[in-house]
Amino acid sequence: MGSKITILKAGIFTTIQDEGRAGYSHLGIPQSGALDKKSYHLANALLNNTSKEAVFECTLVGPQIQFNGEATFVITGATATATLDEIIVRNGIPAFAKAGQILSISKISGGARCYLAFAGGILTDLILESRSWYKPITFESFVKKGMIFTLGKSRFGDQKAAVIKNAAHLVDVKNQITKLKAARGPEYKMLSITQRQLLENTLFTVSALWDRMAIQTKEKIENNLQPIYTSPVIPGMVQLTPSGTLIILLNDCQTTGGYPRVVVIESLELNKLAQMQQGDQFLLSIA
Amino acid sequence: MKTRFEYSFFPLGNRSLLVQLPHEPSEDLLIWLLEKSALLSSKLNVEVTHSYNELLIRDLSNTSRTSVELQQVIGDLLDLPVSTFTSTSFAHKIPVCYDEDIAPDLTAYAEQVGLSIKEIVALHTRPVYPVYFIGFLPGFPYLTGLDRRLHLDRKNTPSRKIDAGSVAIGGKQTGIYPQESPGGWHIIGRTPKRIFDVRKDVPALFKAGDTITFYEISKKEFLETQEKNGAYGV
Repeated sequence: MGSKITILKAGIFTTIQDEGRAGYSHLGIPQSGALDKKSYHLANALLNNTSKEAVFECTLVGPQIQFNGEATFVITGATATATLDEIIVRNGIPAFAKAGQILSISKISGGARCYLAFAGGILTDLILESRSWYKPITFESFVKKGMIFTLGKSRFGDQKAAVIKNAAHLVDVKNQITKLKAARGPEYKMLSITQRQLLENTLFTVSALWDRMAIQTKEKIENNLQPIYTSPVIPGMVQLTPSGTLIILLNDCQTTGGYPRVVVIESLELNKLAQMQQGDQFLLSIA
Repeated sequence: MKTRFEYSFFPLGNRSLLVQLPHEPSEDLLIWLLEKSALLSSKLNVEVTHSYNELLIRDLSNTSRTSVELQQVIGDLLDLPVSTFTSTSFAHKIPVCYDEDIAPDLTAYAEQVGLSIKEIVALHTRPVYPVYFIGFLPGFPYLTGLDRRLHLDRKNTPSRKIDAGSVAIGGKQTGIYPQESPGGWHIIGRTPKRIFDVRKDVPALFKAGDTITFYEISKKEFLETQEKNGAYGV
C-alpha cells in the first residue's frame, strides 16, 4: 500500500474512473469508465501504472487534495491550471509530492475534463471488476470534501515510463468546431431525405443537458418516426428523441433504449465528445 | 417449436455487432436468443446482450479481426441448429402491495383503463410473465404477456422520482423498478423485495429466461416486510 490523500475541496464533479465494466450489460449494468480513454491511458502510461488503474476524472473545476504521504501524480486531458503548494504543475509531466503538500486544480480549459492519476492508482473497492463510480453499483457517485483515498504501490521509476514528446495530445474542443466521424445507425433507414440532410448539415450545439450518460443537442430535427422496440444501445450511438433533439450516449448510458438509433459515432471520437460541454459545437460526418 | 430465424448483421464499428431478427417477440424467439447468447459467450471472448429481437455482440478479445471476420465466426455459430437447450431458468413469485397509499398512480390508472382496482389486481397477478431481457436500469426486467386490458400509454410527463420496488405499467409492458429513478410508467403497486443487490454474487434477482408471477399482499404485510428487509435501496 502507498500513501493516503485527503480531499479538501471536491471540485464541480469529480469521480473515480478506470477502464469500466465489461460483461455486465445483460444485467442492465452500464459499462462506465473514463470518458476520454486516450487521456486516461496516457496518464497511467506516464506513471508506469498498469493500464487499468483508477484515476480521478475532474469536470470543469478540479479538486484540492492534501498528500498524507509522498506520491507521484500526473494530469492529462483538458488543460488544467494546477499548483502544488505555490509551484505550477504542468500537464502531462509527472510531479512528485511530499507529505503535507496541497495540490489544487482550479480551472480546466480547452475541454471539459482532465484526469488526475497517481503512481500505483487509487485503491477504492473493486465492484463487479471495476472501481468506476456509478450509483447504484457503487455506494458513492462523486467525490466529496473530507473523503480519504489510499493509493497503490508506486512502480514509477522502476523502469522508464512513457514521456510526452510534444503537446499534440492536448485536447482543444473549445475554440473550434469539432467534426465527428460517424456511421449510419440501425434506424437511419427510417429517416426521410430531409432528415438525413439535416443530420449532415446542421451545426449542433451541446445543450445544458450534458453529463456522463449523454449529451443532448439544442437543435431539433423534426421527428415523425414510430417508436422502436426497446433495443440494445452503446456509447457513441445517437438517438433521435420524440421532441427532435439528438441524444449522444456516453459511457454511463443505459444498456437498452427505445428511441431510434439514427447514427453511430466512431469509438475513437468518444475522446472528443468527452471534452465537450454546454455551448460547444460539432458537425456529424456520416460515412 | 420454431428453431430457425432469419437474421442480418449490422456492424457498429469493428468491435461491436448487432444481429437483427425481423420477427415479432415470441417465446420461441426468446429461446433462440437465450441459446445463441449462451453459445456465443461460451465459444468466443465476447459480451452478448439481447433485447426483443436483437443480439448485441461486443468483441472483448485482443485480436484485430475485422467486422467481416467477426461476422463469419458468429454466423457459423448462429447457423447451428438449436440443440437441446438446458436453461437454468427460475420461477419467481413476487409479493406486490396494490394500495393507493403506496402506489401513487393506481387511482388515476384505474380511471384511465376503466377497471376497478380489484379487477386490475386480478388481471395483473394472473399471467406467468417471461423475463425477456434485463435493461433500462441495473436489474430491471422486461416482461411480456401483460393482459391487453391493462395496456396504457406511458405518462405524458415522467415522474421525477419512482421508489425502488415500484411495479409499473408502460404501454404493453409491465416491470419493476430495482432502484429509485425517474420514469414514465404508471405505478400500480410496490414490492418489499429487494431485486438488485450489488453485494450479492449475482446482483440481479432476475435474468433473461426466468419467469415472474405476482401475488397480492396487504399494506400491513408490505410495511412489515419492508421494515424487516431494512432500508430499501442501495
